[in-house]
Amino acid sequence: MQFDAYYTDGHSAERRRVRVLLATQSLRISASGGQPLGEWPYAGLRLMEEVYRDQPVRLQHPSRGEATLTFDSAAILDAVRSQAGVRLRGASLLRSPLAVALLSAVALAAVVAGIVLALPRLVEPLTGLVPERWEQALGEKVAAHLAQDHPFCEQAAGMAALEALTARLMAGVETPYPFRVRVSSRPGVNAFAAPGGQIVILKDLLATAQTPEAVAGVLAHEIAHGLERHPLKGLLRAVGVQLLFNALIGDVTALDDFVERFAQILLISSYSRADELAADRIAIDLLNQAGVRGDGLVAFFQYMEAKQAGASKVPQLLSTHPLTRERIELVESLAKAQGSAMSPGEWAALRAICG
Amino acid sequence: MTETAVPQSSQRFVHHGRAGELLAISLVNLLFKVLTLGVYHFWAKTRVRRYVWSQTSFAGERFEYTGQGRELLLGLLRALVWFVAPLVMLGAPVIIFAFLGTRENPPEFLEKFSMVVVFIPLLLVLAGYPYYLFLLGLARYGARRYRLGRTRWRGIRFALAGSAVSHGKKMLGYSILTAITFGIYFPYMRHHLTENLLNHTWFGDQRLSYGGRGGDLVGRYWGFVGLTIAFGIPWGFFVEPVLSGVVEELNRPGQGPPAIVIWLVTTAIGLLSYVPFAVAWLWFRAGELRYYIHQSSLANVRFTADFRTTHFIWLWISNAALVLVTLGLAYSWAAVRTARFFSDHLHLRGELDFSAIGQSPEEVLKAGEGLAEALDLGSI
Repeated sequence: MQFDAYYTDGHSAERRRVRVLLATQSLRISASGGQPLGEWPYAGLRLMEEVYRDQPVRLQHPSRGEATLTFDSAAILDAVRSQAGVRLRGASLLRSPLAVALLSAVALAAVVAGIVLALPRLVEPLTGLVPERWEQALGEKVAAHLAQDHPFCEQAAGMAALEALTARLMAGVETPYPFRVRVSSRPGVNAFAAPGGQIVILKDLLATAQTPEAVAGVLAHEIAHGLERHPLKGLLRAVGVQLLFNALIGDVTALDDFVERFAQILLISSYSRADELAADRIAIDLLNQAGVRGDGLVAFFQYMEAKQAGASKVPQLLSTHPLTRERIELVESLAKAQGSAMSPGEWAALRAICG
Repeated sequence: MTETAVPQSSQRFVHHGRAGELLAISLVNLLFKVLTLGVYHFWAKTRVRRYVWSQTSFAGERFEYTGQGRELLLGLLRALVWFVAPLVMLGAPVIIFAFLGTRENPPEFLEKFSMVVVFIPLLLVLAGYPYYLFLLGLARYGARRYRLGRTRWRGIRFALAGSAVSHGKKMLGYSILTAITFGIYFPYMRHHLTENLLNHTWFGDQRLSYGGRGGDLVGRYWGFVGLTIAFGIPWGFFVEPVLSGVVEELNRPGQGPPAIVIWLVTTAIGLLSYVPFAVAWLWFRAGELRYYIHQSSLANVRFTADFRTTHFIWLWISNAALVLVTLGLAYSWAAVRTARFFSDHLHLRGELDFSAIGQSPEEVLKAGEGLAEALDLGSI
C-alpha cells in the first residue's frame, strides 16, 4: 500500500513530495524520483498531535530526530493499524463532529453534576474539619472589614441591654466559641451572623422593629445560624463555586481578596431553605427557654413581607428573604413563652445605642 | 496606513480552528481540573496550545507545539525560588531577632538591634515594587523563550536567544525612566523592550530583525493620553456620579429586586463604564502592534499587517463581552476568533527561500515558563 506525503528532514525548512510504502516492519520513504530517503519502523512511530476533522496527519519517529512526514488524510492511520496493528495515541479522537458534540455534552454534564451534587455534600464534612480557632479569626477579620466604613455603635447603656438579652437567650447553651453581638451603624434593615460567633445587627433594624421581642427573635435566629456554623458553610460553598469558576475561566490563583468580598456577600446573601427553617426551630427553642414571646418575631416577619410584596413581583424562591409565610406559621405553632424581652428602659437604651 | 502588496497565495497564514472543537477540549480540561483540584491546569494549557498551534498554517504547513504539561509545572516550581528567596533573605533575620529578643532581655535587646528590626521590613516594602517590575520583565522573556523554543514549523525550531535577567533589568530601568519623566519615556520603553525581544528571536538559523525607532510611537502615545483625558473628564464629572447613584438606589435595603439581579446590573454598569478607556488603550495598541510588525523582517522577507484599528478594537471588546456574558464558556470561540484575525491580517512581502533556512543552533530548553505562570500573565 502506498501514500503520498510531504517530508521535512529536520535540518532544513525545505519540504519534499515523497511516496510512502507500507512494508511489513516499517514505512519506506522514497523521493518522487524513486531514490530512497529512509525507513521508519512502526515500533515507536508517534503522532505529533491529536487529529481533528480535515486535519493533516503528521508522524515522527524518535530515532529520526526532527524529521516529519505529513499526510493529507487520516486514511494513513487506518492503513498503519491494519498493516502493522499499531494504534497511534490520539488517532481515534474527535474526528467526527458528533464525537465532539457528545464529548462536550458529557464533560459539561459531569461538571454541572459535580457542582450540584458533590459540592453541597462536601460542605458538611469540611465544616467539621475547620478548627474553631480559625473560624473565630476569620469572623474577626470579616467584622473588622465591616467596621471600616461604618463603625460599631457603643453607647454603654445600649450595650448592657444587648448583652443582657444575649446572655438570657444563650443561658445553658453550649457554644463552640464565645458569641459577640454588636450593632453596626451601617444603614439597612438586616442582621446577620459572620463566622466564629460574630453577630451583627444593622441599626435600621432597631428603628424598624416595633417591639424588643422582635429584636430578640431576630437575634435568636442569628445565634441559631452561628450555633449551626451556617456562615462557615456558606463561606465554603462560596469558595467552592469560586474555585470552579476560576477553573472555568482558566485561573487558579485568584482567591486573594476573598475575605473582603465575603463580607459583601454576607450583607446580601441568604441561606438555603433548609438552613433557614432549622435556624427558626432553634431560635424558637432559645426564645421558649428564655421565656420570651414569639409574636414580636411574627410581627417583624409580616412587616418585612408586606414591604417586599409592595416592592417587587419576584417569585418567593428567588428573593433574598424567601418563604416568609412558612416561617410565620412555624413560629406561631411552636412559640410557647409569654414573657417580654427587656424592660422599657432597656429597650429605649438599645434603640439609642448609636447615639 | 501603508499600502500592502497582494500576499502571495502560497505564503500566507491560515487558521483552521473550530470553536466547537476547542470548546470540547476546554470542557474536558475543566472536568479534569475539577477532579484534580486545579493541578491539571498545566496539562490543560498545553493541550489548548497544541490545538491552536496545529490549526494554524503558513504556506500550507501547520505549526507544531512540542511543550508538555510536566514542563510547565516544573517551571512554576522553579520560579517560586524568585519569590521565596528574597523573603527568606530579608525576613529570616527579623524572625531570628524577634525570637532571640523574646528569650533574652527583650527591651534592651530590641533597642540594640532596632535598626535591623525596623530597617529590613522597610527595605522589603520599598524594594518590593521595583523587584516586581524586574520579575515581570524576567517572566515575559522566560515565557516567550519557552513558547518559541517549543514551536516548530516544518521541523525547524524557533528560539529566543539573549538573557531573561537582562530583560528584567531593562524593564526595571526603563520603568524608572518613565516614572521620572512623567510618562514621556513610555513609548521609548515599549520600543526598547520590543526591540530586545524581536532582535533575539530566531527561526532556525535565521534571526528576526526589527528596525523601529522609539520616536515613531510618540505621536500615537500622546494620542492615547489625549483620548484618555477626553474620556476621563466627562466620565468623572457626569457618568460616574450617575452610575454610582443608580448603584446606590439599587442597593437600598428592604426593597427592590433580588440580590443576584442587583449584582449583575451593578457589575455590568461597572464594566461598561470602563469601555471608553479600554478603547483608548486598544487604539494605541493597534497602531503599536502594526508598527512593530512593519518594522520586522526575516532574511529577505518583510512582514506587514493590514488590520484596521477599528476592527482590532472590536475584536477585543466583543471577545471580552462574549467571555463575560457566557461566564467563560465562549472563551474558545474568542480564542479562535483572535487566531483567525491575526492569521488573516499578517502577511509576508517577498518570497522565503526555505532551502536556505537550517535548523536552530540553540539548545532545546528544559523547563517551562514558570515565572509567567506564577505572576499570572494571562496568555494562551
